[in-house]
Amino acid sequence: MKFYLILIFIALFQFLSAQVEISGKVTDRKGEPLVGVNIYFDGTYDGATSDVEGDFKILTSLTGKQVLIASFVGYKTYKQEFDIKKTNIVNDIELKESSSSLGAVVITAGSFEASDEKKAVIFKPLDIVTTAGGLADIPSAINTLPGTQTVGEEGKLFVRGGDSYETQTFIDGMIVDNPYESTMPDIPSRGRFSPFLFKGTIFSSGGYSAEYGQALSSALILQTNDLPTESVTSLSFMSVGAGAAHTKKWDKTSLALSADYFNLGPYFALINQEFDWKESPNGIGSTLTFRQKTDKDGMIKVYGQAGSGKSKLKYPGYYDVSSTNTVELKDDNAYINATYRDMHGEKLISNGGISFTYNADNFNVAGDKVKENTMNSQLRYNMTYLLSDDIQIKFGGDLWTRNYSQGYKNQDLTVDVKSEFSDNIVSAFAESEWKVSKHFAVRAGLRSEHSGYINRSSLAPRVSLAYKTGDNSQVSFAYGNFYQSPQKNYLLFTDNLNFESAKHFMLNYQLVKNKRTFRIEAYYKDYDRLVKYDSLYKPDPASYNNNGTGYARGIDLFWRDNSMNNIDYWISYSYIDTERNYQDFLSTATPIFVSDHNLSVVYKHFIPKIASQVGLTYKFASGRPYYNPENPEYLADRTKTYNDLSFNISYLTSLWDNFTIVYFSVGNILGLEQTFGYRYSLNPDSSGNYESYEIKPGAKRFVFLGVFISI
Amino acid sequence: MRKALLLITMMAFMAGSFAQDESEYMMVMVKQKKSFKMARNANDFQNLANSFERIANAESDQWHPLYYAALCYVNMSFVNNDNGKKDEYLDKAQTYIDKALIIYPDESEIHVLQALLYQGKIQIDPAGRGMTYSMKANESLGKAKEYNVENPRVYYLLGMNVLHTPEAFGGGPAKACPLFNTAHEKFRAHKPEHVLSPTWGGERNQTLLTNNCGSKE
Repeated sequence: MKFYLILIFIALFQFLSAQVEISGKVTDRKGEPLVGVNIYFDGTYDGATSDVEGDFKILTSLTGKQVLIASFVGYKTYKQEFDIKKTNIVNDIELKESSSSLGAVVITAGSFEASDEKKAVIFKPLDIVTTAGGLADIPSAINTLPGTQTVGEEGKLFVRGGDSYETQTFIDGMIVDNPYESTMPDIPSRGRFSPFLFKGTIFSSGGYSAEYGQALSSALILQTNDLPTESVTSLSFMSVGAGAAHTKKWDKTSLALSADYFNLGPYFALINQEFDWKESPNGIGSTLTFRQKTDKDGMIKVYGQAGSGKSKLKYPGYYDVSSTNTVELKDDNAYINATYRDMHGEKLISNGGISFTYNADNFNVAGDKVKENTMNSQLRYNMTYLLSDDIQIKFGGDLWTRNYSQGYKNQDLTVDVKSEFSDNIVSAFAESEWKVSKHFAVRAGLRSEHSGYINRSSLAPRVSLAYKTGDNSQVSFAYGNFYQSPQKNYLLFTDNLNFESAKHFMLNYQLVKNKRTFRIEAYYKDYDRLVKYDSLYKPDPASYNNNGTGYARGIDLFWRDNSMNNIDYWISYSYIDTERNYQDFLSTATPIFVSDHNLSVVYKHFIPKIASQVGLTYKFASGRPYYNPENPEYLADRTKTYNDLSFNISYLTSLWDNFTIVYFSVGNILGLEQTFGYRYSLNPDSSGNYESYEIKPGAKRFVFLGVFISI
Repeated sequence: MRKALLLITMMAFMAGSFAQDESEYMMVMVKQKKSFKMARNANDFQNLANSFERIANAESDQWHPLYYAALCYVNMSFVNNDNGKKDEYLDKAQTYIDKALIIYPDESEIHVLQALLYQGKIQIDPAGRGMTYSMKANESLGKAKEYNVENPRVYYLLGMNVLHTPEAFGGGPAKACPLFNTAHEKFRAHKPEHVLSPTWGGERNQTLLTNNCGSKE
């Protein structure tokens, strides 16, 4: 009996000593009660969960200074110190939404991002691979987004009235000097980098961060994959070549090697080509990918590739298009980049990298030899400091060294010249992003660059704002100054040039609801100090100046509907009004790579029954200007409109128990006539007429078949 | 009477020196684990997750409370219909798993839970995430198996991974069934090593076995 008494006594004692009650109501900023919030004293069991009214009540025997914590998913953690005495405490809590929470504002002006991880993205890395007409080529897939131009004979990215050189590609923050494969004139080039290398892609058509420089119009920002999940061997057999790759994975390390061979010969033999190929494009390539996890957040990445290619073609003469010359191209290239990323404590992230590019293009034009050599390197380091949940500061710098030489030897060796230059561009930037609230974010940065060769500096301020107008919608605004060093072809002959410059203004509205996205963006770009010259490769410094100007303004529209099962489509439309006077333009005009109207419709349908994905891409572009010497008005002629329908099917199956994808695609399936432009002889013939020819695709349709096996 | 006195002394001893430590910890955890078995809806899981979070916060060298807090959030993700919320809950669960793995990196059950979380990630966007996350899940299950080859949940989740992989990718019920069968045997033979050891998965494995593999049991 005594035993029970003692027990009761102990219980009573504990009860008596646990007298203090802390109670209150948890609400959000609007005063709405929050249900399920965890409220407790730090480091103790004493706590409670808020009920349907947001009310909570904690009984505690704690005394003295204690920290009360309230935590809830999607909200910032609340902390408040109390000195607990014998009296009860009433304490209402207001939780602030976390700025990283779902539906928080994101700066979107000018940029499209593809990622599997982030929530607020419109694109997935897989979208790039599966876009019909894209043939797993990053630039081609990006070309279905608004703001881009369809320029069939180049295959490169032309963004918002900008020339292709105005788009710069970055891999893990490092600038890529030759993002496209070397090709013959009028033969579209492909991106050098496989889309499978990247976990994230950001395509910015303007107003991008101060972290990125040396790009007047656009930045294509690629983030490479982390450690692979397992070892794998893959084989590919294509109508244009074959390849093999092996990835070996250890616990914290991985190494992947690949080798490819391509030859368009057999394909060209089968399908009649417009071009008169003397040697079909062929070549070899190899890549190396290394990953080493150094600790929880630390990672070293190395990526290298090397390759060479050859081709030979009969091409219309430059002076007289009715004659033809044999043009031969041999190219060798190598690229390697090594980056390191780590976190120091909870607040500081550092990123560093080094890269090296080598490219040698050897042209032989009817016996005249042109040799172009690029040897560039870059050293880069930056730090991100997380000042708080809402404010981060980024700063860093890089040194970009460019060496370029060009040699010219004519057939009988009466001319043998070589020109070269080397330049060091030093850059520094600082930028801060502040999520003022869940509804409002600001990013402001400053970038400064100095080129040693031209001895000029630039200072580029950039600002972006984003404001949430509703649960699913937001408006963004961006302004920025952008500078780019003159192209290497000009710097060969003069150092008396300044950076080319552009100012971007853009206003963007975005609505994302129920897996549907609508975006509209209006922009204005003001170009200044564009390089002008009398004629390209003229070795007279006085013939180059920075007197060129230009503008671009337009509207980009984007709609994507992802709400249906197995069906996905997007529509991009761009309207642009742009004129410029640069290079050897006779007067201000719309350049030849611009169509006023561009439309892309991308449709993808997965059919589980046959384990296949079918894709269709339709592209339309209004007529492009071309130079007609017989028309007194400069660049006033327009080609006919461009239409293209491409089809692809990927069939997923297994071959001897190995996962296999069979991929088949047809470009321009309807065989529509496509004209990219016209080229005229420099001088009229004896009857006073200018000879011309039509620039068009190599064949009406392009058919591709590939089998990809993972072992 | 002597026995009673002894008992009282022991209780007083426990209340005194252990009260805030082992005994209270065990008492609360066992109670919470029981409630976990009864939990069905988001509210139940939220309440439990909160208690486990508090305990984890007070007992920084124990992995069980972190494990159960994570498991609650994974379940909250499963019972929610909003893909954004699902992701948020899984991200929250991931923070607990990360902490648990620091305390006990060789614990098979934590790696199993990591795999379950990855399977939750796949559910949200099968086309986009299926490939990467099923490989990640397999990697975690590989580790779980390495640390405890007898853990039935390893085979249960391996089976789930295979079952939900399209046949073209080497998945489907025919290939999943042997794994569910192994899991079934291991569930039968399994003796939890600790009163707080996880016990989930057996019933669901049985259901999957019956529905997909024509098992008589």
